Amino acid sequence: MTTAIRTAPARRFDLSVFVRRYPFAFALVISVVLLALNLIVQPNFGPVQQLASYAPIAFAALALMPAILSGRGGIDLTVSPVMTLSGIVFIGYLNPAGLGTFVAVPILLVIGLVIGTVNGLLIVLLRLPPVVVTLAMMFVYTGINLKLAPSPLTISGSWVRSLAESIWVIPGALVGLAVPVIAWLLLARSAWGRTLYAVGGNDATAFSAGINVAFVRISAFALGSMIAMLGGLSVVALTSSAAASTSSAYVMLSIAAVSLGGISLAGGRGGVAGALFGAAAIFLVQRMLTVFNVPTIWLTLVYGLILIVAVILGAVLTTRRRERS
Amino acid sequence: MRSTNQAAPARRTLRRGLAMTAALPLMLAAAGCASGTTSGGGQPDPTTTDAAVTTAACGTLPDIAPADPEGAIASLAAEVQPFYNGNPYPTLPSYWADWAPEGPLTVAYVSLPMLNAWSVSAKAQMEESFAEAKAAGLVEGELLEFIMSDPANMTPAEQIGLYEEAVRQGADLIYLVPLSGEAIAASVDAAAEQGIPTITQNGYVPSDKAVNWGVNPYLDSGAPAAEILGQLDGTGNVVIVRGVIGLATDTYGYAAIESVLANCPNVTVLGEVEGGFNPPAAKTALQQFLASHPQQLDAVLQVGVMGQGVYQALFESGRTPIAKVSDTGASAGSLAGWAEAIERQPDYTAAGTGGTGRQQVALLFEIGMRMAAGEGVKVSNLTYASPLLTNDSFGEWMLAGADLNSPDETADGAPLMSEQELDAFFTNPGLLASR
Amino acid sequence: MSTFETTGVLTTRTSGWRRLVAIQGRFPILQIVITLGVFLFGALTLPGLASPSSIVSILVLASLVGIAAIGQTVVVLIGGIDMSVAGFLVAGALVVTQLASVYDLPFWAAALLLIPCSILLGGFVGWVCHRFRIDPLIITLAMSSIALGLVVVQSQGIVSAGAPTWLSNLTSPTGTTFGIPIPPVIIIWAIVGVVMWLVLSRTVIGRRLYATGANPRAAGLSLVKTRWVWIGVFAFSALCASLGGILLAAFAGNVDPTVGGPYLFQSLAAVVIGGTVFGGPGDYTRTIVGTLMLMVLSTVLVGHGLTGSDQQILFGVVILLAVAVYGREKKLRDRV
Repeated sequence: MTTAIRTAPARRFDLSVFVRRYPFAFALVISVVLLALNLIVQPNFGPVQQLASYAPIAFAALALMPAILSGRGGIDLTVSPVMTLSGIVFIGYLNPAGLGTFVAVPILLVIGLVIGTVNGLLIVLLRLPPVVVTLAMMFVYTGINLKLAPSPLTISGSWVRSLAESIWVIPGALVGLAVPVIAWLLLARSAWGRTLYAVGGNDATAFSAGINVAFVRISAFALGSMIAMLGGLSVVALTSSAAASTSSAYVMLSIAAVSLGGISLAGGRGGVAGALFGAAAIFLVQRMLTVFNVPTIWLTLVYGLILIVAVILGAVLTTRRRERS
Repeated sequence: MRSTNQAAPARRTLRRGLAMTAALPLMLAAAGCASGTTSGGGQPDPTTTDAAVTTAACGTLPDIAPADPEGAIASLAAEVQPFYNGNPYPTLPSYWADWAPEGPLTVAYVSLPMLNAWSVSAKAQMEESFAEAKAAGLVEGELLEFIMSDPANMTPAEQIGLYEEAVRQGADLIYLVPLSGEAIAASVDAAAEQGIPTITQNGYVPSDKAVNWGVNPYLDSGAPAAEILGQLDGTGNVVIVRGVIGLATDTYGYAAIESVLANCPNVTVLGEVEGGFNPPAAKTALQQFLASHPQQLDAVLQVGVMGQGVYQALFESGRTPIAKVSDTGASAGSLAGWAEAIERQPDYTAAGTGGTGRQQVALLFEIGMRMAAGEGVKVSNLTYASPLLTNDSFGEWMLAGADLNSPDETADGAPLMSEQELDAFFTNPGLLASR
Repeated sequence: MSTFETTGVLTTRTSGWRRLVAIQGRFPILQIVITLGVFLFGALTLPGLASPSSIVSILVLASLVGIAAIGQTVVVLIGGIDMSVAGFLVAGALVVTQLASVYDLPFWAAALLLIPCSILLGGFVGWVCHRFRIDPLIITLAMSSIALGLVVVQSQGIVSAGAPTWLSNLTSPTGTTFGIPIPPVIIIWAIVGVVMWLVLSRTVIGRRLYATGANPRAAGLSLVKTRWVWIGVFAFSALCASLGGILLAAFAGNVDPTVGGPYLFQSLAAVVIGGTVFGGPGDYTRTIVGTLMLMVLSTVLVGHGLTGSDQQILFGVVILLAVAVYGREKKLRDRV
């Protein structure tokens, strides 16, 4: 007598499940396609320089990520002016004081910690909406930048420049980016990281489970600002200067990058891959529009269309089925 | 329990009220502190016998030795030396003094977004000049254009990427309108190592490997201001309209205005506003200022390109007599405003400077072609004194049919520089003309 | 002796203070007091601030920001942020100037063209945000580029033609409306303010809007078609910003893409300072008060020579204080 052994039917590849598991998949595909197109049209790619130009956007997206992941409308509009502030402090104050070597990095990180904690305290303890708080602080930091650096500051011969060139055979930008990426990967797998995702998913539930929601959210903002301070160094590496006029340069770019990367603005979903590939997609779109000699008048429209299509597609593919009904 | 819950709203509102009211004295105190420092109060009445001497000097632009660390300017012919008066950008002997490339060149144009009439006409002239040069066999292929896409989100990092793309696509000569000269200096040096010269316009790149071409900001902002203060006979109330505080062009233009005012102790500076190099923003700022300063205004000294907004604000405020406007970087709209002021008030006089994108780019392109012909550019920083506009001369710059709202540039008036003056910058002039 | 007040609070005596507190919850008294206080300070320290011409000047600038903030108010009331205000402002200004000259359209045709186009684009934003549960922040950001880009492509360039002179008289402080020495833009703003107050507080549409903002699920269960509310709100916001662009063209004379930028953050600040909270409560009268406070403060600061950096810092501090007073969310333990 044979007992029929029931085997599970072979599963076909389910796109929406795949995208749900890897929310950055869409940005990854766009990046790969654009990169391939770029290489076809222009084989002389210049990876070191391209990565050095890409690094600031990637840092901005990485800095924005913890705040968004922490949920409750979390967002950090101060990323851009803080990046500028980092460059200004480094070139204008630390370097002349003889602190322009590697010792500058911890100092900048401490400043970032303070800035992020202030943001976090305002948002969490006073229970203010993050978008308005960080908008207001964005104005404050822009004003501070203008005060600290009324004219653009320049630097030469600093070790920071190597972050835009090659360190041995590795592009300096990758070395620079490796710091926050590795730090994040370690944190994300730790207890703190798990609680962050829990809080981002549903903070009331996390609170009931005994998680110190306040600490998690504040520390998320602190981490974001610290990454932003590092990002300021990548801008200095590329431009050898710091100017207060770049205070608002990365605000919209960073939001677009994380949205493309599948990091939901509602929180609780997404990771470092999303930030990196989202930033890569934005960067390559900007490059593409030039390499393909898209007429100047079409640039604004094309940029907006790509962004909206990408965000809608990303949302469509990651919406759980039962939420659709 | 119930009463405390219901008292809570009242207590909360009380705290709210206190918080808001606490802000008020803070802000007013800050305003009070600031008013003493930047509002420029009043300058003391001259009571010393120096008064006669200083008021006689009012209305002239002081001579300031330019930054010439290696004597590069001194090596130029005498006729172009005055162009460098007060020029803040260090001028060095050019890296490209011996450059003599072979064959037709591939040319690239890296520029800012098409945001205003200047950039549109500059690009058009660049394409026109390129076509002429191509017909003459000096350049080949297509003009490689790398124009930034998003005016709201542009960064120096993005322009560096575009510039390096131009290098990768094989440009032999790059014309650059930099967003930030300091930021792109390293890339310019790297390209120079590969034998690719970069000629910049309206943005100074601090390197001897760049050839910077542009108006002298000291003369551009200072000359009309000096002219106007002379027209005022050294007394009156003025307002200074700055551009973007933090940008080099504003820093140097403002310094020029300040050095002119230093000779005019009887002139009172009522205050300063920030116009952002954008006529509508300047109009808003000036209107806000006029709303709180009813004193007679005799002159508005602006750092550059905001003349149109200034005239709009003055006319809409209905003030008489109409204040004199130093129209540095005149536009079709600002000249229309000047003409209207004369219509409303026949004894109205003002001053300004001219120079269109077409004129500037035509000369820019010619500099590059002269270098390509082997004429040997002497210095890293070429500059000129923009033509001074007065009541008599601004007519030739007026654009037919333009009014106060017009977004266009002026018509091409007097040439910015003669060929002889341009020759003075080169070791072997005349090679291009002979081709 | 105890007396019940209308709020049902048990008190020992009727307190005038409590009445004030109750009114402050409904009407932005504090902001009005601060506005008048700052104005008084300015009038005392800056001669000429209190003159009719300067008041009119301030009101003209305020009405531009106020009109830009109409759409922002309703979007904030349903719990979102509209980042496309700047894009639609500039698009609207470009349509009536550049587009009209490129296609030889009379002014009225161009202005009428704005209406269906902006409603369509705005409605699309609202539908997308509701259908796919996407935060309006990013969608409105993209739509800003799209709206501007569409106009730029159609008008073959970014540099606009100048606005006709009669249009500039709408926003000129010396302009008149049918003989009354008040510029038309202020009258327009006043009319809009009254209409908004009526619609938001007295009509069914307004109630549905508040319901959707306060609790979308409950609204949906109460048979409020929240999807149509979202579509309507964003369509209305786009429409207001586009029509506001006409006034911007009038004021600025000619428009480039960066002219709209300041109005985006100023409109948001005006809404927040006025005391409207994300998802409600709030209304447009609060925004009007917030706008006036912002403009008076800004004018007094400019008059005292405060530079850009100081203005930015104070701007940020004022917004923080305003939201700290009004915009605080519920405690976490109350949401469990």
